[in-house]
Amino acid sequence: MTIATTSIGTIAALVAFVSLLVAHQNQNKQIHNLSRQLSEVLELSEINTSLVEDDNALLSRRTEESVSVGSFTYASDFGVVGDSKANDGSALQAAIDSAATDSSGGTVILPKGIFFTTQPIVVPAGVTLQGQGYGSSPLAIKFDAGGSTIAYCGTDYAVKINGSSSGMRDLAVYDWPYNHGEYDGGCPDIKAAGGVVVKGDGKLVESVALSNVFIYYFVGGDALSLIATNNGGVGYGYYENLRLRHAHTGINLYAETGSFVK
Amino acid sequence: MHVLCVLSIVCVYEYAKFVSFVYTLHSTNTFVGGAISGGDFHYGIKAVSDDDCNDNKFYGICVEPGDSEVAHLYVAGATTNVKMDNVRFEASDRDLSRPIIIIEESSYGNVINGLVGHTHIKADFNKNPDINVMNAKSVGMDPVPVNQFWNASFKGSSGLELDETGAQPNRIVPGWKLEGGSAATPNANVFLLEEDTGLYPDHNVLKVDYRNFGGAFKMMADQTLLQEAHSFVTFGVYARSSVQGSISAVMRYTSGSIISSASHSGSGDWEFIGMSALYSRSAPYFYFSITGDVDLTAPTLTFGQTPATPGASLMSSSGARMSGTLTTGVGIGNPPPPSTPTYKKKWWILPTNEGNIFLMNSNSDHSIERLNDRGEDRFPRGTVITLMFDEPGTKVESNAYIELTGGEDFVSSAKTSITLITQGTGSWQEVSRNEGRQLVEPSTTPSCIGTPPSSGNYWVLPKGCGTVFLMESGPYIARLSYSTADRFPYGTVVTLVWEEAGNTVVDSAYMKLKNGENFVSGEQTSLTLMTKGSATWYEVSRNV
Repeated sequence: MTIATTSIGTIAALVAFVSLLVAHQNQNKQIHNLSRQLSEVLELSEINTSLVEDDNALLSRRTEESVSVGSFTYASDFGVVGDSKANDGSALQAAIDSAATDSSGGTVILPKGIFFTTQPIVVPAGVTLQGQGYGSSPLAIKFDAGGSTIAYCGTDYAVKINGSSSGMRDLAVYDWPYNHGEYDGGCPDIKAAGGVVVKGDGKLVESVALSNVFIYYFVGGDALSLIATNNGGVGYGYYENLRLRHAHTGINLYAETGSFVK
Repeated sequence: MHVLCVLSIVCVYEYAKFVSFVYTLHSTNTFVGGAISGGDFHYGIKAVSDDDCNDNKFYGICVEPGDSEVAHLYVAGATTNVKMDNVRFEASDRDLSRPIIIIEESSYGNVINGLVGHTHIKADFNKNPDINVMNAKSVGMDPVPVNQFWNASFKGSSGLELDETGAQPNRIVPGWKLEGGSAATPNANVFLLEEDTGLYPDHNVLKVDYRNFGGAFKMMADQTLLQEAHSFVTFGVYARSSVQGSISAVMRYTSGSIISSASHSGSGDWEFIGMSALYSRSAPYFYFSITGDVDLTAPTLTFGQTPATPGASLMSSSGARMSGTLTTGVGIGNPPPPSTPTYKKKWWILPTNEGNIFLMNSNSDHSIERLNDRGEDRFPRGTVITLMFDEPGTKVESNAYIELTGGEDFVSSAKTSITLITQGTGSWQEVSRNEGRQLVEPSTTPSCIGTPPSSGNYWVLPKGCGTVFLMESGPYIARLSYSTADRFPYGTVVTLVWEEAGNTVVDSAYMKLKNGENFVSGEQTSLTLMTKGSATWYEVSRNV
């Protein structure tokens, strides 16, 4: 791709346009392309460069930097496998934590695959987990229909969002009910407390955004919870096109005394 | 679109020029689209909180598990509510008696619009006036003008005649409980004003003769009324009296106190005595307090602030859909009074506004030759009636007015009935009759026995005793009921059962056995055959 000299005005226009398009589910492909274009523009702007570079050159440099380019963090760079056999929890968490070290937050790109984990995935403030969709069929029991799936085996929530301006897009979260390697005989009997929880525990967690997320088979708990405790709050969130199948509770909203969910 | 946007609100404004909808302006948690489905649900969406959990907005979400243990939407808490726009709730496997949405009394200000299918919403609509959903599979959520008082027309009363003490110890007004005074000396008697047309067609007027033995005479429903979502109730009765203060409507208020309506003015005219008020939902109690002579008609009670419409609403002539049990009324069929001229003694007149089932007060002294044949007595065209007889001997005669099947008279036995339909004229046609079952006593003479022929191998089965034959020992069977006179009708299936071993059925052109294999009986074996009406039998199955 060829990029010409950039200007502040052009960058601002793209920022505004992308922020608006995010709201529209049918524009995801455009959003992705524009976001990618924008991040590259930003990066090139930061290094005060006016250059012409093709895709191969950019990829080459990304490999050298190894960890992140602009605001994108690639989970595959941190060793996630996504074959439904490896325990990808710690690698995925490392990618998220890496993105979180950037004070401006970032987006963690999750490739296609089934990412088995026995530890909850914690999404802190400013980080968005971006998958590759949840496959061609929401009814595919083992998610062999493609997409990016976090398959959790444990008793906690599969994904815990505990910071503002964070979120998830285009992926599935699954309470894994099958035998699994060293957990043979374990996972089928282990029911998670829930799928995704947005929790304001003693603080305000606001402006969380979930879009095109499939949450599946949390029959022992809530598919999605918005919970505020210890004078905390969960507010101003945006939850778009959530597909919730088989759960004890689809969406659970709870605020204890002194807290709020609104 | 402008290229520079500093404030996102400006961007939204500009962006709105390009798209027809904008979801990005949200002041609270906002859920857009999406669906909840599948199994194992206790709750679809649950909002139960101790503190602020309100104004969370849902646009266009679909919640459609086949069923849920508690509810598809459950909201509870004094500061908890949801705002839902264009949502869809369905529960195709849910029992009709269970609400799909439950808004507990503690919650208020919920907003729900869209479609709710299969069952209903439990909520206090006075606290949640913006719950306004379409319901394609029920009759609507609004208060309907259905009267909660059963038998508001005072039909089917009995035992209203006075005994020697001037009391009515056996009086019954179905649907109503009459209280006041003692059983021996009730402080009011009630009668039906037969000649009074009252205010509404088909509604009798109940005349209450207050006897003033102390205290009020109370009239109330004899059953627990349906509990509705509304906290208001509207009820009353049309009353005519010349006694000031003769009647008032009384109920238990939501606080637990007993409150009363304004009483009758004593004008001698019909006045509606009733009220609309918050009622005690934990201990509902409504009655009419009577302390003077009064005529009553068309009592009504409905929940909410919509007065009930006296009488039944008309259904569409092009068809109507009903839910619930349809119960038809039961009337009494009395013979013509003794003063009837002899030639009319068999001309019965049934009440036309009490139902379709008539308990016939008749016995062998009675016959029925005509039913409501005079123009003023006739039932509408298409009316089907069933005459139920407790006593034997009543004859329903077949004639031009009562056309019975085959011209055959019906003579009652105990617990028998005949059903007739009218074309709206004075004549009736038989639909069906129940003349009682013929009791069949076990025979002491076994007749379905397959006995061996006196000679040869051609067996003949007895006809007219069934199709299962206990076969005696004998020579092998080459043919079965072979002669024309002995043959069974086309399609007859017989089973031959042997208790003893050693009898053989030989495969042949007349006994076509499976795979051409002879059948040799063992103990407790059987062979099942079918005939086409000829001399030939075909094997159906064998039990060896």
